[in-house]
Amino acid sequence: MKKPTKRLLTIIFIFGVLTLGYGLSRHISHFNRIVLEKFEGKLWELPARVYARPLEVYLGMPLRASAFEQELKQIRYVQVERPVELDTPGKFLRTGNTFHVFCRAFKFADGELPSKKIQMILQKGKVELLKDSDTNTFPDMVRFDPALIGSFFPTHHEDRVLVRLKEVPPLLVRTLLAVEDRRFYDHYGFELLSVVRAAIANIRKRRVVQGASTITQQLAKNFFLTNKKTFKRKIDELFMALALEWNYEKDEILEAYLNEVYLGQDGARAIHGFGLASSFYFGKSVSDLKAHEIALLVGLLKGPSFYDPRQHPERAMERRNTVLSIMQDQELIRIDAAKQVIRTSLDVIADPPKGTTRFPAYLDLVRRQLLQEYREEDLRSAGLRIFTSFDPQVQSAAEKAVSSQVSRLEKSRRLPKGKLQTSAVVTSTGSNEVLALIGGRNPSFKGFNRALDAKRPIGSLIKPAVFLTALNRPDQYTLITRTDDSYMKIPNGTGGTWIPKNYDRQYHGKIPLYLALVHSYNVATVRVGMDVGLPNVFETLREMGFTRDAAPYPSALLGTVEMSPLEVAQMYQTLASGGFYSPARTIRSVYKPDGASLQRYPLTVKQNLEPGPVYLLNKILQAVVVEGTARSLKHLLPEDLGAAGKTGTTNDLKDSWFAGFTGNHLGVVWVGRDDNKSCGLTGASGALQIWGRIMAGIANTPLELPLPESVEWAVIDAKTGSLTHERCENAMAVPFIQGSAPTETVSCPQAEEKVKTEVKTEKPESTFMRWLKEVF
Amino acid sequence: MKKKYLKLLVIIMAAGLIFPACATHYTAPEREPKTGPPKHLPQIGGKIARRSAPSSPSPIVARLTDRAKGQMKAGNLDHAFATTERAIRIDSSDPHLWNLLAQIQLKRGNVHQAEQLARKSNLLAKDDKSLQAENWRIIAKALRQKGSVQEAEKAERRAKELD
Repeated sequence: MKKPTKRLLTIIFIFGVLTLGYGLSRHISHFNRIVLEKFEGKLWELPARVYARPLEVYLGMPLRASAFEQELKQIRYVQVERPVELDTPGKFLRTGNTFHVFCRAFKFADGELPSKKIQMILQKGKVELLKDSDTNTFPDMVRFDPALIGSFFPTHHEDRVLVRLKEVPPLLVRTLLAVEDRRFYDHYGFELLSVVRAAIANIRKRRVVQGASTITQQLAKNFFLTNKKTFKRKIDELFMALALEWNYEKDEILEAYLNEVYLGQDGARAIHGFGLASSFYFGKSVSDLKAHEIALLVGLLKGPSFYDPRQHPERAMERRNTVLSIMQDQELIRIDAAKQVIRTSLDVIADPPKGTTRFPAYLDLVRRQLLQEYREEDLRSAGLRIFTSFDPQVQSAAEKAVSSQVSRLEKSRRLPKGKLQTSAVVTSTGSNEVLALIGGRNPSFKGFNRALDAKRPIGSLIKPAVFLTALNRPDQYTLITRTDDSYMKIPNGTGGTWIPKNYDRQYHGKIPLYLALVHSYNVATVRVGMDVGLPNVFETLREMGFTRDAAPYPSALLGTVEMSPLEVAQMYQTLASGGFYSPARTIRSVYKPDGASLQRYPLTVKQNLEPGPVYLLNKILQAVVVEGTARSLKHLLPEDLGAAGKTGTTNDLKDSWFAGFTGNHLGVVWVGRDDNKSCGLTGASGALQIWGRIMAGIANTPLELPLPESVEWAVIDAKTGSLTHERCENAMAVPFIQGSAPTETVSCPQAEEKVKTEVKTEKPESTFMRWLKEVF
Repeated sequence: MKKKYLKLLVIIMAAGLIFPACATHYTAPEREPKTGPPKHLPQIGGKIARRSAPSSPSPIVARLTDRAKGQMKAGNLDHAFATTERAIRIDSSDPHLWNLLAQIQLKRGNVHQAEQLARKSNLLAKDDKSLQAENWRIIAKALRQKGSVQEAEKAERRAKELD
């Protein structure tokens, strides 16, 4: 009986071992596959990072000290009080109008910018002096690292700042190993003694009390989505750690750990990795960390919420100092340095960089423009670096204008509180880049993006298109052609009749064309529009850049067409550029995290409109500001700026618009109510007030319209519209398309006088004098 | 002997005095500024603002232009374009910058853009005849590559007139 049982037992035993072995190897290969997948594929999803335009400062550039300081703070430069404190990049010192800045390094599209110390002096609102304090040279231009204005997060709200092992300070690595895993480089993924010790402790307490010990095990733990503390999970983590060690080098595991480990929480956003944690807690990059900051971060690993320096500063301090003493024991820092540093404060910044962007409207536009080119997955996962034309100073001016005006306007019209809304777009006229975007009266709140999505009737903003169509026919219309602002009745296109009326309910009779637009007379506009033909007006709209269809009824001439502020900006941009259409852009370039370029968005132009008529129209738009519906701008902006623009008001004062431009900036502002009730504001009393204040807050160049070849000047008698002499009483200078100036002349007594004196003085210069002149 | 030379001298001098009188009455084109309105008269839209900036480009723009030209020569067209765009952001009314963009686009083979950018440069190059001629030559080249031969010839003629 014994022998067969023994053999049976042996067989069962061998069979059992084989099964166990098989199971083990299956388990191992399973985790091996997971590990390979995670590492080789995307280990973690990197969000795309969106940057503002880099601040470029050059000699003679208009710049206000307050604006510069604000921008430095916006790109997380810390202000210090004494020169000795300017020890790491990312700090600045201001004494009056002198700035000392320790610039951060940055990898630009066209080269790397090394970190350096710069001195800048501002005088009378301009940059007076630039000095490179390291080399004692005087550059004429300095470029700063651009502000990070937002990112596109992956759906599980994780965020990363990838660091390479070689970028991380050696002290950080040594401290980490000293605290968490001293034999990291020696073990095979787990420490048998620790595992046994932990197992005993856990069995004793009948639950898992001791956690993962090695760095490899901690990395393995991080791969699992949930934080279960079961035996099975511990075994799984063990196998995962083995698989990691089997497939990868120690340094690769360490690097992954540095980027993966959980170090804190910012609302819904999880802080993973030392790169992001350095920015989140100290506002600096990981390579700039000091000893006590390293100690804090490493100390956090034990329990990021428990030791949160902002919520539990005393615990954090204690933990940090514990780590510091370990550092001292292990001789990672000198004893005297340790003593000194233990006494320093935590140095954690109070205001961490926001995860959700501060500028949601602009970021929304960037995202939309990108989505036209890339898949949403690529945008969320590839860690792209996106450089835009966003200008923090212009955005700031726009936000200030909105916050100061909207509630004031609301009160002045006795509207219910919070009902009045607004939106705005500011672009640069030279390259049609979008500099700032306001989506609503609370710009930092992510909500309905009115600048892009609120399509409202544009009212009188359409009139320039009507008059431009007319001016394109110089044989019929010039700036001074008499138009008729008197009673008219026309079919409205749907079977009824329409009697257009002016805002002041009056008729103004026969007036020169330009005055009809300057004062925004409805009736004259409709007359001109019907004369040149609705289809032609719509064609002009298309050439100006409005691509959607509009209902072809006569009322369209008074702006029943609905547009978003961005669409309006696009149209007026074509006027500001002299007739050249350029699509509104936000993105300048996109790069992969390794620096390879993905897409360039170069400046493109297309001459859609004849420059002559555009010049004439722009002159009228300047007159709108000088003497027309926008003349109250003179209280907000210097008159020699020569700003041009158009007010827009719709029926029952439901929408208040202003679109206008200077030499370098174009702005469109809308004010109204979301519920489409009357806001009681005209273009001038509403939107213009905000527009004027935005422009007053940024550096503008005067509008100097380039004179096209096809335009010539003539001296005109304002009363009759005929040519006259420049000395006559009602003479004015008027531009015309060549050949379209009037030919009839009218004279005046002063002119007769001049001619007589000219004839008199001509006599003495005889043929003899002329001959002499020729010879010599 | 001396008398002969003296006579010759007198004849030459006399000719020098007479010829100008015989010539058709021709006043050399005075270097007057292009026809602008009389300064004292009112205008629609206010007076034409005086050119506050000097006619020569700012040193920053000049330096960026040089850099862009260098990048162009080295065949680094992407960078040349980006550098020129940087200069345009500082001064978008400088016709030389737009002309440079046109040149770069022509080199890249983007003939549509080359033509449009050259036209934009012309709009701003009011008094600069040589630059206008250069722009017309770019336009002509672009039109030729597009296949619009007649238009190209017109453009070449404009260039010649301006030279």
